[in-house]
Amino acid sequence: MFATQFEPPFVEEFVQTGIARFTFRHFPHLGPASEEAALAAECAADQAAFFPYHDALFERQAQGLSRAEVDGAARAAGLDLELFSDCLDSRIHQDALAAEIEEARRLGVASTPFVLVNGVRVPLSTAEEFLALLRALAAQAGN
Amino acid sequence: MGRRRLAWGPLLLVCLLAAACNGGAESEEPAAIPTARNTLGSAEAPLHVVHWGDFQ
Repeated sequence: MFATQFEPPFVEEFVQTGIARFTFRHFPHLGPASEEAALAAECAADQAAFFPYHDALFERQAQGLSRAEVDGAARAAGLDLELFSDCLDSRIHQDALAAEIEEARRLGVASTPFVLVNGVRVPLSTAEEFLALLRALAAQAGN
Repeated sequence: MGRRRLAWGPLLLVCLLAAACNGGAESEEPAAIPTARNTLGSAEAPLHVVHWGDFQ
């Protein structure tokens, strides 16, 4: 929901204009496929393609994230498929992901989407309210 | 519903502004996976939006 409804206008208005930076953190909590997708995204990040892969995965979200979909997203993002498969099969990012999930829980993350702006949690009722809040913060910061 | 939003809206904004002025809680962000490779935008940007998500 955040990726499809909030993120595109936010990136266009705030990230591409230098007003905000945007970080994606993993909180896979919906079963093994969630974790597999998070690990796959980190393998994409190894090829400097985290966000192209992130976009490709979210486009396939409704179809369920089978290994075929995870690999299809890798193709769509233009990844080196051999490197990608080796990375994913080795689960080389497993420990870092587990640590990230643990840290997220410590911060109070219990479900997704969960968003902080400058360290403060914000509600995600509508995209327009979210953007309005950011505009107010940006104005306060002089942008 | 509308009344509740009016109640917390200004409070949230004050809270966010205070956090922004104090540098926020950036130090509270996890570092297990390096942030830079999962970040878009300029490090100089005054706002930092962090989204915890699940691809599923």
